[in-house]
Amino acid sequence: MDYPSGRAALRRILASRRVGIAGAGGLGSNCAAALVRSGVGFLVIADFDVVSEGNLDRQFYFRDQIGRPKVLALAENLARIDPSATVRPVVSRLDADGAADLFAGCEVVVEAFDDAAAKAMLIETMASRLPGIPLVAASGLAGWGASGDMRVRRLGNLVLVGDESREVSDGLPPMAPRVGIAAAMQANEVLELLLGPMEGGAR
Amino acid sequence: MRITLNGESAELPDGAASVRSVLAWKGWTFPLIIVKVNGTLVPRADWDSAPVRDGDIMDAIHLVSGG
Repeated sequence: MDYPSGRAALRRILASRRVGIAGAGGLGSNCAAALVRSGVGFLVIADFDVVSEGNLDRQFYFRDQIGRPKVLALAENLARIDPSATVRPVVSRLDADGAADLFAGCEVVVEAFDDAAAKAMLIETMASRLPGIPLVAASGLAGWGASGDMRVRRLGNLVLVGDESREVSDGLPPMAPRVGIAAAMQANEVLELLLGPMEGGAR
Repeated sequence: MRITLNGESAELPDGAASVRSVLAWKGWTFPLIIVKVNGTLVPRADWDSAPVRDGDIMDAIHLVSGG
């Protein structure tokens, strides 16, 4: 199977790709950064929340952005990486209708919510209303260590990263490395969906 | 009845014929589970009525908060 070769060819392909991201927290902000760095040309990112000090331990924001809507701060950060990337920030708490409307024009969507009920809502909404668009979701990323437990399950147009067990709680907070692993795995799965698999290796 | 459950072969007892009964047999009572049978997502509202048949491929995903 033909696959793209070389940095310029890969970036040319990704420059015209459209990815949606639901949530701009630990997963969404870091996933967005990886995708923009890789050359994805169009991102639409939705989150209702503002940057708070507690976010700085794992989310792609800076101290001078505390109090700003996350998606606006994120758009600024992404523009500092690559001003040619088009980022559409949406300050909104997505419900099923909002998600279906917002992501209808995307080629891949990333589920980057914090709350398990919201994750379920987006998974079910995409499956029923936008079944042709792959969704890369995440479940289970709290704590530290246990890197090997972070895995990927591919179930048709639903891709799931995480360990499916470590839930964020007062006793087990989300921490930058493990959250970063999940966010990077999500971005990596997005690239595979956009570019097709690499040649070689076990598949 | 034999199905593939989360990628592994599973022999179900007689009577495990709906999505809900399969989840109950496994003791999976997480508040939020996503179920796919033969590649199609089965909404929670349909878990009692959705049949699981011999040879079916079922995947159950546990959703936990964090992100």
